[in-house]
Amino acid sequence: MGTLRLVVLDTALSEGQALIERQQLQLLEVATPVIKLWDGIVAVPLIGTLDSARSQVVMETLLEAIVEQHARFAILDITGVPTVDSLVAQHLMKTVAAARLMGAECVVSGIRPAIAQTIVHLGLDLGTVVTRASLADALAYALHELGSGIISPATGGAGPR
Amino acid sequence: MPTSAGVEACLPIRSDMDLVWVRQHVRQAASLLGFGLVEQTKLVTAASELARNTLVHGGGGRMDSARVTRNRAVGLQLAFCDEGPGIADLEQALSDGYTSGGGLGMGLGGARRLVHEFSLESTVGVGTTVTVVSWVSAPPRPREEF
Repeated sequence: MGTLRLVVLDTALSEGQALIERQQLQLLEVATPVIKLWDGIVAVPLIGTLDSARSQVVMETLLEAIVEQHARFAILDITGVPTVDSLVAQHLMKTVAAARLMGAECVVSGIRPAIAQTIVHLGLDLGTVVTRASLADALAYALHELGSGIISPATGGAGPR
Repeated sequence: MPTSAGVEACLPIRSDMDLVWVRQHVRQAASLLGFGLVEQTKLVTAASELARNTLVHGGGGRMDSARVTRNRAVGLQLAFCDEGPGIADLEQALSDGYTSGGGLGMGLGGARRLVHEFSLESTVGVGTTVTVVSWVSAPPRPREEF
């Protein structure tokens, strides 16, 4: 009887462990889509905690997308990242540096006021990284740099706004 | 008047997953005590840095959080303890840009700037305890640097 109990307990525990591992893998996969915003512009909306494993996946998928889409600009949106500490900043800067080696310029967007103040107090220097407050600003910047822009139809003619 | 329920806790720091718990607990506790969004974010970031130090340099440990009061001011105290190798040169460890773990070297010094009070006790071979306090409003801040 005791042996049976032990076996049951052991099976349940290892099943639980396997489930957790599967879910961690799932999380890695679902959490990092690369979105094509325009010809030559890709974006990655980062959501949740940016630990070493996740930032590695982000970097890989982003670099692959840059090659596939012939992207000149990559936008990293951190609206969904609750905490930006020195490790997260380091991961961001590494990703930016790697993208630059591939010929793409990175723009980090979605820096909230509280996070901006925290980064300043923390003493992190993101001076080498182009940053914008929102994804829309980052897209406008990238479009402008690519030589295209969005013109309001009010000045250009008919069409829905 | 916020009480200490939901604030007092002793959380283990053994893995990366525990860092997530630490951050969530600190955010919740700071919110319960009435910290504003900016102060909450600063505290969570400081806790994240210190907890990672505990994990990476101290080989794991724990965080104790408590509600503290002084002259009717309410604050949140976080203590990070480990039984790791300790820090031989405190000045060097606190200086920006110095790292022994391959990071940016901003964690300890940065965390000190993010909170109102910061104390570091370390004995080589015995362990390290970092205690930080932030006050909800009107912080009594007799501080030397900026």
